[in-house]
Amino acid sequence: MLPIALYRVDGNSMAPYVSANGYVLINRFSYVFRDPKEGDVVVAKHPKTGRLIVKRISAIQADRYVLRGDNERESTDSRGFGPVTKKMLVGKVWRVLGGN
Amino acid sequence: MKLSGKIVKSAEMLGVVGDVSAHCDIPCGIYDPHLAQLAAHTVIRMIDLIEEQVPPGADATPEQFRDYTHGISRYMLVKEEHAELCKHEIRIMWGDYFKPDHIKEHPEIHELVWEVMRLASIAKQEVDIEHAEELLDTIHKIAEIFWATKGVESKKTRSAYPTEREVVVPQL
Repeated sequence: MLPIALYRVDGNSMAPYVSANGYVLINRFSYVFRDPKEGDVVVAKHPKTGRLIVKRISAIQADRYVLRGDNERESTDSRGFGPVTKKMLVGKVWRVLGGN
Repeated sequence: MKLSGKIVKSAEMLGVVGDVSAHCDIPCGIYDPHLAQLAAHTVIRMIDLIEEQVPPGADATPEQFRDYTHGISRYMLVKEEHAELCKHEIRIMWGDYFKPDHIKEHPEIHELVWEVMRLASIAKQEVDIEHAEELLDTIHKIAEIFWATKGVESKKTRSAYPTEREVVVPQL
């Protein structure tokens, strides 16, 4: 598995940091040797649907991470599905490319 | 072309770009069977109003014919719209809210949703109070299941609407 992966972003929940139809390059190994930090933008698995989502870590509660969209009015995030474990974090967004 | 553009284009060509969602079904996590119930009450009310209309007699004036046709047309239109609204609201609840765990606990959900689709179509096709009442009753059952999945008790109570029929409300 390559450490770097590229994803196309569908939706506005991370605008303006990532626009709809933008791309994010993620590092899948970011959290192998260190723990996620508040403010990190991550690709994570939605705990209910398994769908990949891109969100920002807004708080850390013990071993769980609260994910929020920057654009809260258009975001389905930990307010709905609760905080997630580290296992659900696929990788940290390393670069944002393109978008509208 | 910028370097980032070249990276994206190359990755697209290689088919190695995944999709990640930053999407929301606005409003987030807000579902309520009340709207479907309101729509079903409206269908019933429109049928009541249609049945209350007295058709103009043979000696009616053109204005009386016009007013009668106008009134009936409006009631029909609202009946049609609200029957569709019943379907819309229940479809959203079915597709977006109910999850496999809910279905496991309430396996009748699918059957009830199909029944709403069928009865709401009949509500459009006909002016039939019995089917409209059946529509409301089926939506009540879905509303009770919805509140049960939320861990909220609900009760069926008499509404304050002119239909004088019941509504399922949460005991918050």
